[in-house]
Amino acid sequence: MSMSVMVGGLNKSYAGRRALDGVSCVFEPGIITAVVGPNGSGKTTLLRIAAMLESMDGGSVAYTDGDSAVQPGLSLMRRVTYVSQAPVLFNTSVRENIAYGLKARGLTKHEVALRVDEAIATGGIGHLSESDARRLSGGEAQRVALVRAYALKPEAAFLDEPTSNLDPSGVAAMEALIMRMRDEDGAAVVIVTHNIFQARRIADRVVFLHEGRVVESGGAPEFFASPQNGLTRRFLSGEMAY
Amino acid sequence: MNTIINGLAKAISLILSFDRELYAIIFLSLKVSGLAVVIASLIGIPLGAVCALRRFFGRGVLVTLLNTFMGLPPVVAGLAVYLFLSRSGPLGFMGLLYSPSAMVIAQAVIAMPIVAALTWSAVASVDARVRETALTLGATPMMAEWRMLSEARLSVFSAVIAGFGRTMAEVGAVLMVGGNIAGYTRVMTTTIAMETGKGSFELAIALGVVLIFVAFVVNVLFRMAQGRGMTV
Repeated sequence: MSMSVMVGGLNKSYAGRRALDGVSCVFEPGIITAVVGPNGSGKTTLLRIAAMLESMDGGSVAYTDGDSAVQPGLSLMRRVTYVSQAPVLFNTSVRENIAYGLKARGLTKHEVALRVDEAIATGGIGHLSESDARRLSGGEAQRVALVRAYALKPEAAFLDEPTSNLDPSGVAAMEALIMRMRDEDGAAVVIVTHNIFQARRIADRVVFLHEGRVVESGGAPEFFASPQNGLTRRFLSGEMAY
Repeated sequence: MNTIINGLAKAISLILSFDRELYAIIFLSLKVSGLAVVIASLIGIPLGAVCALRRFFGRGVLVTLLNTFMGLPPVVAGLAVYLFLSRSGPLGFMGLLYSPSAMVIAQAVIAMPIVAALTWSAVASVDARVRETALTLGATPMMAEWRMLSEARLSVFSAVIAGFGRTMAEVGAVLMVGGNIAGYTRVMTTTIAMETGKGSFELAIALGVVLIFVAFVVNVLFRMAQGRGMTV
């Protein structure tokens, strides 16, 4: 598994308002990239277009496996997953929610059961497994959605503020899960986060967006230790109101 | 008041004595309405779901028509089916008029728009993000649509129940195309109408009690399904 996602010159407008303006970046396998920036900077739009959930006005998104391009279609969709900030769980049990994508891939009952059990154990949600998914709290739903994505062993995972509703112990558990996607599955993981501390903890690379443009990007240690751009410095120091 | 009390007492005795005529009427009613609602559901559920999930030319008109035909007067449906099945009608060669089959067709015509329109409403009100979520989990577009329908399953079940209720309570259309022939096309509603007209209330009340009981059982089943969440 070594799928990269190359985003080039991405443009997107909503009702005349530019959300993305020539955004280029690369999401590499085995790397967690944190996309940070103030509200309205285009983070979610970038994530959704990269995850093939929205169309772009201009630019390109290319998936490559080694040197070869991966053609769009169902097989590519099944190598990618996306978790929204307010995840939708299906009106069935937590276990069935986690099994859904595995069943869609045609795995046998035995394989599905094994993968679901493993994901539930790794995500630490055993106490929720038989619960009605629609009756979970916002934090529990977010954990289940992340475990559901993890169970698929995606090669590219786009996670939009994946821990925004969680308490500190939940955050730690889900960050561990995200790192397992990177370390065990070699996935290209992209997280949108407002939490700079989280980005410091788990990200290998950071992309800083402001008003639809990439202001600065690079390795996380350098990004946080010696930001090159004045806007980045203001953002990291908390001077930028957002 | 005496008439009602005497009627009720005789009705209970008819029910408890397993009167052959009474039970033949009950079973025919359940058979005709059951078959009609099965046919209506087989057409109405996919039709309603497609209207809710797909964009195609004429979709708005179709939904408006379904909503309009939800309130189709049974006698109009009966008249239409009669004209089609009568000897000079386009389907007259099938010889179905004044048979239980004609009654099934008439009731299916009445129930189908109800099932379809309520299914449309149920599926259209499902959070559109369900489809997107299914796709992000690797579902095919068809699987994602099936998921949308599954999310609306309780409301779709209600639609079927509403269709069944309408067919069970219907009298005009089945009278027109069935003819209320004793032992052949006589169902609960036509019997109630006929017996009331004759001033013979026992059988009418007994059948009225059974009709209410059937409605009660159907609603209990529905509540049980709701309680279980109808897990899919």
